[in-house]
Amino acid sequence: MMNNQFTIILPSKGRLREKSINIFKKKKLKILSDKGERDLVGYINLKKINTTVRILFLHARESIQALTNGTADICVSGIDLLKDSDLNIQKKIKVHKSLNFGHADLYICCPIHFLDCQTMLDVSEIASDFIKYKKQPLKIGTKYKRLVEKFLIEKNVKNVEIVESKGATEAMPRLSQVQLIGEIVSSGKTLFSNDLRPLKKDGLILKSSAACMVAKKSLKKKGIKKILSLF
Amino acid sequence: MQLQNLSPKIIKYIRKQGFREIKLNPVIETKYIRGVNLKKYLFTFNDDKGVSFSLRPDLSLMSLIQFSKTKNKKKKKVFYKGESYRKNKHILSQIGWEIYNSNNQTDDFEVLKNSIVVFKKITNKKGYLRIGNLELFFSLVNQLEIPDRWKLRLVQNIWNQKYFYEILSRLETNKDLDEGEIKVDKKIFYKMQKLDPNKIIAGRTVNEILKRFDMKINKDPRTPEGKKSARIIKKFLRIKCSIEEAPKILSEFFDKNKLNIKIADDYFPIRKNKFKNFNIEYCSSEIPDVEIYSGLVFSINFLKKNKYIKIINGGRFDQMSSSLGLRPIKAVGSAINFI
Repeated sequence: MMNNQFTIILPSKGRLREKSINIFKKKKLKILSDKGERDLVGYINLKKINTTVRILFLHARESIQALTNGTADICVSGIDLLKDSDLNIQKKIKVHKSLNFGHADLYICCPIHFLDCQTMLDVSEIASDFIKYKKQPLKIGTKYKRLVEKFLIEKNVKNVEIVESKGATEAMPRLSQVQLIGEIVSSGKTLFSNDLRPLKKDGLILKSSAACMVAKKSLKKKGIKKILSLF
Repeated sequence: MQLQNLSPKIIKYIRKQGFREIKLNPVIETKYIRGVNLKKYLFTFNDDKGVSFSLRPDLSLMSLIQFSKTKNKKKKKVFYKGESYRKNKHILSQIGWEIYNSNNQTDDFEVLKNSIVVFKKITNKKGYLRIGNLELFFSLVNQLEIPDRWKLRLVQNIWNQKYFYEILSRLETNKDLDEGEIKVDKKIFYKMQKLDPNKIIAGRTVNEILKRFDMKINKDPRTPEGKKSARIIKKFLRIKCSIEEAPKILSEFFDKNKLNIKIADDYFPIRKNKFKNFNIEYCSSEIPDVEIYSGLVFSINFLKKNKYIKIINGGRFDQMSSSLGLRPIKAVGSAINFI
């Protein structure tokens, strides 16, 4: 029956992948695949409810998109990525449960050499100086354009330009592409090794963790509650 | 309140007072929009040259921009009507009346009087007129013994109440400075002093970073001054009294706090409450959520289930057009909002 077909997307890389797989291991469920560990498609047999659940391994950002276009019913992804996505996408997704891993905070960060930059008020003043003396806006690199933009408006920071990053955001200030970055901080080691520090006092944009998300459309499917109870 | 039923009545009255209609463009270049409360809820899009435009979030701003593009330097009374578009309010209908190239207080009184009459035309309820003046707040901040950059912070963020009080509390408690962090930073400071001052780090020279750091460490307010200043600001923002008593109460407040601000008896455009079924009071915390005004500010409210409902907002916005890079226009105006 069509009602009993479910697709779950799990993160394809790193610690998030491992911890997501562990959720099923703890329930004594094995993710099976035809082509071994690196296969991006797998399945789980749920004998109790007589269903096979398809498992896809995708990038955490892609998985949110997949929930809205009907590719999948459930995914494990980051709250940060959901909050940074288009409002139309957010409307179609429900956070079923926050998971106890993938904890990370989105911060405005600056080079450790910016001794004078400790708060968002400093950022605002440095941005005013930039436009006044250099005739250009202060640049902030980030993968989280929407969240950073909203945060800067709330903190009344004007004269800034957001430069979208596709990866290695931490390298942008060293290359003088941007002055600051808006980036996820978990242990802080990556930042530190790139001579960066978060604006701890008031530069926190969002506290995030991994979460189990479900497409609102899929909530109408028969059996979804049993699948969700696995998380 | 529904605009359709009430607008002909209001427009007929406004026309009779010599105001002429200005037709407004539905789209505005995003660069003209200032302030958190408008920016947060914009509907924006880019044209094929990459210029960002928005659906007009406020008609008063639109009207000023359009008027600035004419060469008219004489006093002009205009009114506008239509919808403004904000994500949080869907469609907000507004009717506004403004006097451009306005130089005197009689215009302030005219706009206020028209606002009161318009209010009376749409409801029989008792009206509550609250009058404030941002100039007083700016002058007060300017005379406090705090560094200039703190003065600027307070003035720039007065529109965002929540953030403003957060800043005020930092001024009070000196939370901006963390002694532990300063120790670490000082080590880097000494290392950086040995670097070439023109060396660039993430787009900033070593010299400009060190200069600003030194300025912050040596000139940042220490607790006693910050605490005292924050206390004065908070007390000022709590002043609320009848309009008749306002000049005396304000003068006493400024004298007591050794601030050189004088309030003449005729400082406010309304000195006595001569309007029936109207309560008129001075209120220092009367600060609109739209970052347009720079002098007189007012709102007309009515009571509903013990809550004040703001229906008409207005004030003087002499600095607005120049701050947007347009020709300077002194202006005073008011608008009624229908949801």
